[in-house]
Amino acid sequence: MKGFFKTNTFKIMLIIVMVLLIIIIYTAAAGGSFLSDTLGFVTTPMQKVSVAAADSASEFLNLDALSAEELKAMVEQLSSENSEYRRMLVDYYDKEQENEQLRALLEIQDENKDAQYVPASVIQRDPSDVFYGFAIDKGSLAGVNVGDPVIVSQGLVGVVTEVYATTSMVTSLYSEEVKVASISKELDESGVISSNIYTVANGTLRMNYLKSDTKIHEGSIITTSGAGGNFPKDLVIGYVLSVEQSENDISKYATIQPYADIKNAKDVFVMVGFPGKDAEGPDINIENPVTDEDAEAQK
Amino acid sequence: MDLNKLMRYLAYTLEIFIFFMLQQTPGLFPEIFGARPILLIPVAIMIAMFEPQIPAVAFGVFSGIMMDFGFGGILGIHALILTFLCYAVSTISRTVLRVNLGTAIITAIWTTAIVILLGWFFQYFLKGYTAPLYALTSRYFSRFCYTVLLSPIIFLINKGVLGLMRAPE
Repeated sequence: MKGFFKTNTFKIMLIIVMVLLIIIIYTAAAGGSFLSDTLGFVTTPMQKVSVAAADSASEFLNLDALSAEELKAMVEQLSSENSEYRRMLVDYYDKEQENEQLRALLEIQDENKDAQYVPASVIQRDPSDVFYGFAIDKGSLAGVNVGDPVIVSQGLVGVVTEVYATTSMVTSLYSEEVKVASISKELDESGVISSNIYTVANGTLRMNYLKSDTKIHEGSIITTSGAGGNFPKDLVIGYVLSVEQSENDISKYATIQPYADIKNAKDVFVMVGFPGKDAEGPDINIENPVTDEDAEAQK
Repeated sequence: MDLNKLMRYLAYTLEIFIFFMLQQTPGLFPEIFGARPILLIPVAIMIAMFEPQIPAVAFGVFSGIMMDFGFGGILGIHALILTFLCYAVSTISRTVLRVNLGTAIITAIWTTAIVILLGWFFQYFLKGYTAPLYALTSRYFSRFCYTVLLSPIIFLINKGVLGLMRAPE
């Protein structure tokens, strides 16, 4: 054992551990790093190919309801048509995706005319993240910043928490770190949207700090209130499934079913600019998330 | 460095990139109890079973850095964990363990358990999230089982790589 400390293996291990500790300390202090940017440049194109291949395979597997004969006939027919359409299909998938993105963007822009959007695709979903965070294929080079809301045509899905040159990490609404000032416009009652491991399991969110005599009821539509300036107002979040008594105080909370499919979002939009952005006031703070006590005190 | 060794190392590098893409691709692996497998853990461990300590550690660091990059946040935590685990696995495999499918599965079980437990500790427990024990038993345990379940396939792939590019000394 004594001789081990004099071996080259030990010296190399020591160097590796020291370098890793420096990387850990540096990235913990500085956030994004040169190494992350470099890995992003390398992995983003590969990941796009991988996502496209997975989507194609998924479409192919949806054909499993057909019989072998039907599939054979279909293959023969498609083979004969293949050469004719090959030239036309060269850019088909790109254009189709672009078309879908633009159509969804148009719908969203009708609702938020003064906002600026960056369309992006989900390229990674890390299996280690229990809150369904994901990575998108747009980063600082496309104008994305930390704190930008991420939406789909059905509503809010998350917020950008890390930005590299060509990619960004998005923390989903399911994360315990995301708290969103929300409102029922119909009843003019506000609360704070949050989540935890229990609600994630059910695919729901929780709207806390409702009054004990709240009028919010099953089916009420919940949107962002715009307070604090981190999110634009009137972004749809979800609808109320139930209203129940809070475990800790006399307030009530509502269980919210998000409209957006947060776990399976593929094409998203990053809101890089909107009226009222960065106005004063509490809404969401990823670095120092609003605690339940803070939110209660603000209320 | 002989050509076979160089080819083998290139194959390992490619393997890590491919399995990183597979594990990160949305919708590719179906979720089981809300979990998807972390393929880079068994990849690094299986490489370590067949290689001497230094290359084993190098590929462990590479796999760990990729895992940290995929998760976002602090780079290097998984790399550090895999550094020690790959060194231990390589040493054990070259001294006391006969490398076969059975020992590979046993090794995958204890190493995956350590990585996932430490991941839970650093990325969930220390952040003060709600109900850490519930998260451990409901989410992290299913992820552990799913990952271990796929480790024999990764062992066979690595054995195949070795077979094609000659076993190390």
